[in-house]
Amino acid sequence: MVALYELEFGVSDFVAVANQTLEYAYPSVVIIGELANFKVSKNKWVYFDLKDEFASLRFFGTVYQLNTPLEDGMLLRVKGSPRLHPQFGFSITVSQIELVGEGTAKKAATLLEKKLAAEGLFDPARKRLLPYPPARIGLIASGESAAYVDFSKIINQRWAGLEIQHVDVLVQGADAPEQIVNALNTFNQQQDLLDVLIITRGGGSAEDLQAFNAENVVRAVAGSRIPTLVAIGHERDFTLAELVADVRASTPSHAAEILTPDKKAVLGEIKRQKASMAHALDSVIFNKLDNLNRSKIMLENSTKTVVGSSYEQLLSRKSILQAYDPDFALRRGYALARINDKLIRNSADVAAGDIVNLEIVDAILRARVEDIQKKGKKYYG
Amino acid sequence: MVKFNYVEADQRLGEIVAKLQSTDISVDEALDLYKEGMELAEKIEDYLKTAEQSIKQIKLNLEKTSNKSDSDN
Repeated sequence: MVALYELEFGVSDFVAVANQTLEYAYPSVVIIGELANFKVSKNKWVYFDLKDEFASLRFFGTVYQLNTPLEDGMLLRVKGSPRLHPQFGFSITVSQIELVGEGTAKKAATLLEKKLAAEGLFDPARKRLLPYPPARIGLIASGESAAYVDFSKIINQRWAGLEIQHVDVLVQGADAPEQIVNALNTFNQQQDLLDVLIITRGGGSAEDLQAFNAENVVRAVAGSRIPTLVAIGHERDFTLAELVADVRASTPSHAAEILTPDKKAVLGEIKRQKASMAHALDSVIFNKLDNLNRSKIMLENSTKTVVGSSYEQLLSRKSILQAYDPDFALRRGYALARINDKLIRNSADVAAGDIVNLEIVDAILRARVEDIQKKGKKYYG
Repeated sequence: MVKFNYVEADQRLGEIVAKLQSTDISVDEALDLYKEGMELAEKIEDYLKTAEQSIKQIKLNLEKTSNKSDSDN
């Protein structure tokens, strides 16, 4: 049997063997340490060390794995694969980076905030109004969380007929940012875009909430075509996702309150509107009746006036006519004098000795003219 | 199935109430509007009291290339 220490290797061979062993023993490893010598090269390659009191390890990755700005001194949790590079020695190839501790989490958020503010992502002018009430909403939350339960409960109490599409995501941990971004993209690429997207979780430390300060998440929220409502259950130190959303709510329950009206209140309003309509209709009808009444009275009055004056006219005309009626004159004692069937109008029409006819009311008298006595110069006729 | 459009209905109801309260409206017009308004109000009340909320689970597509969403029933 050959003792291991007697084996000879070529340099490359040993490198290969060592890598095989590493791959076998630690295909993937998670290491926590303090960031040092952080460097980005050609805007693509990332080099840094993680160190503790006694040692330091080299790491190598790409900018695409960076979710936040990094600074020396930050405490990181890095997942990667160790390897022995043929030329550059031992290093760990990064697959995932996570922030550790409140200090680190807050520091990263502050750095990112500065960077994004400069781009104008927090500009109030960017904020859109949410459709109110919405008909179809997307919910990005952890299905097992209290946030999901609270939101669902309140929204069911307050409103009806909503279509809710839910994507169950991790809201904490190294995989959370990717899932949240994925959910946002999924909704934004649907054929029939929803009205609002709600992203919600309960409160936590800055470290717990770091996914909502991750650059890819914040950019995805900012870039969402669908208006966004972000509700993280805490009051202080807003996460960047909240600052960049169209609307922010302080808790999942509050989000439900902002999103829709309270159907109880709306039903009350409808009742009031029904009463308004009935009252308005009554007014219209009453006014119409009142108008009709007025018109009726006016009509009656003017008719009386018209008729009254006509009647008076008639009477006066009648009496005028009557004056010209011969019978009327005869009844009063006048006689119509005729000679040879012609009316005697004056003394020239007749001579003494003529026979004349005198028509009185009920007979005709034959008379002989005895004498003519002329009256003064007054003539009637 | 045509879904009841709450927003439109509510808006129309507001219009009707305002119109009924305006000064130059004939009795015929008022009666028509009243009828339409009351029916609309009933529809809205009915909707708010009975319409069901639906929750659909959408699966996350973890493939970075395709972005189709599936509903999980």
